[in-house]
Amino acid sequence: MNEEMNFWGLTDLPERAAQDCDRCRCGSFARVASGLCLSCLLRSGLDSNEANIEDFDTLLAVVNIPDRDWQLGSYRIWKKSVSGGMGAIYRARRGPSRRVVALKRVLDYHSDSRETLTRFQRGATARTLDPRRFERKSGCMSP
Amino acid sequence: MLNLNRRFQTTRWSVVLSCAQTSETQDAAQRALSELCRVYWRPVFALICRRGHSVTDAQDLTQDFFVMLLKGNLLSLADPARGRFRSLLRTAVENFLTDKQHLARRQKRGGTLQFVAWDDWMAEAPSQLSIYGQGLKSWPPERIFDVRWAATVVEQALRRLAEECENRGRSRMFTALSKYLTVERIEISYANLSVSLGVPETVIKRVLHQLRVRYRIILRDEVAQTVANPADVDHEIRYLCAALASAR
Repeated sequence: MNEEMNFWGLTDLPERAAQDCDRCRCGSFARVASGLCLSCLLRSGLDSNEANIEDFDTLLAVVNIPDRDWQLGSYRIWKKSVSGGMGAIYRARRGPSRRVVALKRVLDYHSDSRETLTRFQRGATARTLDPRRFERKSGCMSP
Repeated sequence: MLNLNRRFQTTRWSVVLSCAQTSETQDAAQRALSELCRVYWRPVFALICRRGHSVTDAQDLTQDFFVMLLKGNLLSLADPARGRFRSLLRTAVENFLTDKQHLARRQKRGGTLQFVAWDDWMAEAPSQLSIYGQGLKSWPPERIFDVRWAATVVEQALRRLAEECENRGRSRMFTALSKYLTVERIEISYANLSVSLGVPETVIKRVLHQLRVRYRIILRDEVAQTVANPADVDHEIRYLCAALASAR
């Protein structure tokens, strides 16, 4: 943590321009991961919809949406190497060249923040990745 | 109301309170309190910052506060009949800040004690909270504390849900579907999700429904860990919703 922390430690991220919640339209002022509305997420804890509850672990086991071998743009993802608050790093193969790369993906919710993108790239390049094999993809589409 | 209270008859906070009542020092209580502090340090830090301390000083004060809390000096303040971890913590940190002796002691020893692993806490639970709006700068410390508390509860629940998916090799699924946790079903393009994830729309609908159900269960469990009586979960959630509403 550093002196850049904004708003009395309330958040690590800078304040953004006022923006209506285009999903729930509840007028909330705060978002968390993936731009989800904080108020709606909290209020859903009171939701009375209890129908058709399945064992979640069993469901995850049988649903065929694996993390391996999926396509992200022109990259074929092998596995996720590490993830954090701003995004994740994948082991991947680049389509045309077939080169194996470490692919860094910024969460789409952060992709409009130049400061976040700069910090994201700087951290990865300095700490964990061989720059020759570092490729960045920001503002990714849904997988 | 969800009939899920039976899942957590004993909460972390109830374990702490039971030992505070009898003045016993039990490992279970200490572990429970440590776990709660590890999750809910951010509201304390935010409140201290809002009281006018610099980030560096607030880090030191937050650490000092938790040192005192984990040593058990403040548990005598807890009232098991009305006990909520949130309210006790807020009262305790306010008292801590007004007690000049604590500040003097901290300055005397240079504020160098690293009782809690601050960097570990930061790395373990990075916050993605984003704030919109112009009124933020006028919020009183109590509101800052409550908003940060609400965000911590929600982010902790999302983190647990993500871990469950990741442990099953389904983090891609979580990434794709979690952004629709609160979206009206009519606004979701199941066809697009079906194409991108490579499974039929019926599977997408089923998984998203269960993802929402599981999130609710985890959220309520998180809230339950901070109240003495599991029956208070709804009341606590409503309190936090009201705090968010009043902070607009």
